[in-house]
Amino acid sequence: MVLDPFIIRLVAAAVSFAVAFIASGYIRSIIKEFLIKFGDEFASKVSEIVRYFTIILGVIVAFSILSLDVMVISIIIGILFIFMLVSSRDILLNLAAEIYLRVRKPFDKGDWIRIEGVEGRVREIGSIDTEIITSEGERVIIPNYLFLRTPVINKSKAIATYVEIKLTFEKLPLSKLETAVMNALNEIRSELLGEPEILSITESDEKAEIIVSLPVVNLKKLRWLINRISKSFYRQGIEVEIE
Amino acid sequence: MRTLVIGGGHPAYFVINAVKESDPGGKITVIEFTKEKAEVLSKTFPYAEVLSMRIDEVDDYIRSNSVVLDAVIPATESDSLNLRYAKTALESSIHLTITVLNNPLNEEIFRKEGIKYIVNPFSHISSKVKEILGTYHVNIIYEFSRRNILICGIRIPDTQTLNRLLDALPAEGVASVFVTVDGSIESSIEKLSIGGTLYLMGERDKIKKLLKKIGGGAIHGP
Repeated sequence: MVLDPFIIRLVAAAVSFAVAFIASGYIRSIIKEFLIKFGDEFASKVSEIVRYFTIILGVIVAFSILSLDVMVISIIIGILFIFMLVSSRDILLNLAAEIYLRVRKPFDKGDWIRIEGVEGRVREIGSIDTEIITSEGERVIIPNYLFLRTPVINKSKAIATYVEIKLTFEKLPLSKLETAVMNALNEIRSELLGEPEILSITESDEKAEIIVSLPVVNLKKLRWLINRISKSFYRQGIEVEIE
Repeated sequence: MRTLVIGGGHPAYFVINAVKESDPGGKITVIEFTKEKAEVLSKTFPYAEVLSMRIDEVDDYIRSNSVVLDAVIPATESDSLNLRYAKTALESSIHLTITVLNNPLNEEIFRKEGIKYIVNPFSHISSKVKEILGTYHVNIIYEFSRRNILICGIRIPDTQTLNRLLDALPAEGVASVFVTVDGSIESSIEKLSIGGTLYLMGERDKIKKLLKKIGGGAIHGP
């Protein structure tokens, strides 16, 4: 009995698809095991995507065994590829961002970061976005793909963050101003990790500007510190504008 | 810097001294649960503010002072309390939270809860005993918490280990000092010889890779 060649090809195609399907399960397990160090959720997601790609590969091989016209196969693959690219553009971008965040680790949970003018403590690193809490207590959600496009400054390598504040005074003798600033800084010294510093003094006809640097550990207390500095000048009978 | 230390036992004693030494101008507040102990503490540490508080009042204290506290160091003699206070501090966005362990087996639990800075006083027992006995193969002497740096000692028992070390060294980011069998100190890799001890300090990952390469028994860190 001679089998119809098409039936043989059909069986071979079915076998190749079945092999791809079974292999995809094994590949998923291996990739998951390999990536588990970057987090369970992340490992599951990537391994699942690879599994689907393996199955698609099996389908393509099956089609080629069935000896469909090369042109037909190319069109099918092309359409599939374009469809996947268009429909999953955002997903792929976020996935790339997640891979970048997990593998490169530009920051960790709890780090103080700055990106596009937003500064705060990283509260949660999710698959799609990262949540940070600013010094004002505001919750800011940053889409992960932004970390691929924008420079991020991680300020957590040092325990203290050096915060610069600008003090603007009505014109007064410079020595008096310096003494007043030192008095105010001494009052908050115990709240800082290290010595506060006067960085610059600039004078104009009507005003004097002094920039000071404060080594602050908990940036949430910045407003409270500014308030204390302001009260100190008030007690010394000096008007000040703090930025 | 304003630091809150919780506890009044031996761990807290060492913590308070270390904080004072590191930040002499800072403010230290100590919370102790028993009044008598709190009184003793205020005499031992006259520069610190010592508060006597019930166990359940501490969480509220942390929350209500989270705007001014820079660091919280739970160092009681109970790991469950330390974990609880550390979690409260982190939830209150006090990032600089350092815990002191009473049971080294709990380290993993603390880590899983997101506690980044964990002091494990037991970690030094192994490296110290190994150093005294001097018969170890690899001795991880110190692993930094905030820096990617490791210090270790490697005894060179045979030619195989010696050759592997000579192959791997010098390595960028890894500094070495070699102590020969007769105790003389050499800084050149060419002076490595069997029986001596090589001390490495440098990039953690590079040194760990090197240790894997030279193999020979399990490598137990502190």
